[in-house]
Amino acid sequence: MLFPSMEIETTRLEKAVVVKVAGRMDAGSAPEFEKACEDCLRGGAERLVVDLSALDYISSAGLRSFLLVAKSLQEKGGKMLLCGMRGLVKEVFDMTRISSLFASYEGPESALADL
Amino acid sequence: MTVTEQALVLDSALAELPRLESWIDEFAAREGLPDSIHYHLNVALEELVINAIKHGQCQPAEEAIRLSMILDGGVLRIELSDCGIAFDPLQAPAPDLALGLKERPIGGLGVHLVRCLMDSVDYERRDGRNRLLLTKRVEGGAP
Repeated sequence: MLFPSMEIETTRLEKAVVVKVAGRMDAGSAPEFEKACEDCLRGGAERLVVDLSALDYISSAGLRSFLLVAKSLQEKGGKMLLCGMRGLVKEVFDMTRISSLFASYEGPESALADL
Repeated sequence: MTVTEQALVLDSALAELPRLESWIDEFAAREGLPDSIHYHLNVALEELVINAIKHGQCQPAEEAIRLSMILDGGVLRIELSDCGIAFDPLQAPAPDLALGLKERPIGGLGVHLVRCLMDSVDYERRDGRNRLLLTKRVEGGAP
């Protein structure tokens, strides 16, 4: 199992911006995720739905980025929702109880329906 | 059964992280490690090597970090050492995981993860080097 490089795709919808992140989020790539989310915030987004269904790897550097972006959103009165969390990535989110800080959904559709 | 030790020497620089990643991938493939163990190793070693780079101030930075890993009798034994200033990452206070988003500090999760993901982690200062010894039981690896 090799972890492919990180890829990010953002889709601006009426209710929120969906940020789909795939591959490996480590100390090298986590700042890219942070930047993509901060760009969304600067563009006026207040709600981010982060789709983790294609994320294969996350280390503590990645978790820090999630915390930073979520704090930033919270200060602006916005929020972050997660969806598609699975497998070993979910295990790391659960071990650090970062998962307990966010509403989590099966897919982006169910997250968006809850907004 | 042959037991082969694999070793790696890194400079104290974040640019070395892809080499660490390839080294772990290579070891995991050769030993047929299950995906979960491969993942746990990556997360733990990424964290500890970054700690050594950031806190160690290794001088000189060249070949400052040494790793060795061996799978013996179903147990992975990893040794990570660096020539930096004395620094025991295991002394970091445990993070309060019950805090809400606003109160949660950004850092402190890495060492917590290392402790969760490995079966044992020990630190010693010896011969002017920081040494971390890690073990992890492997189930379902190649016989």
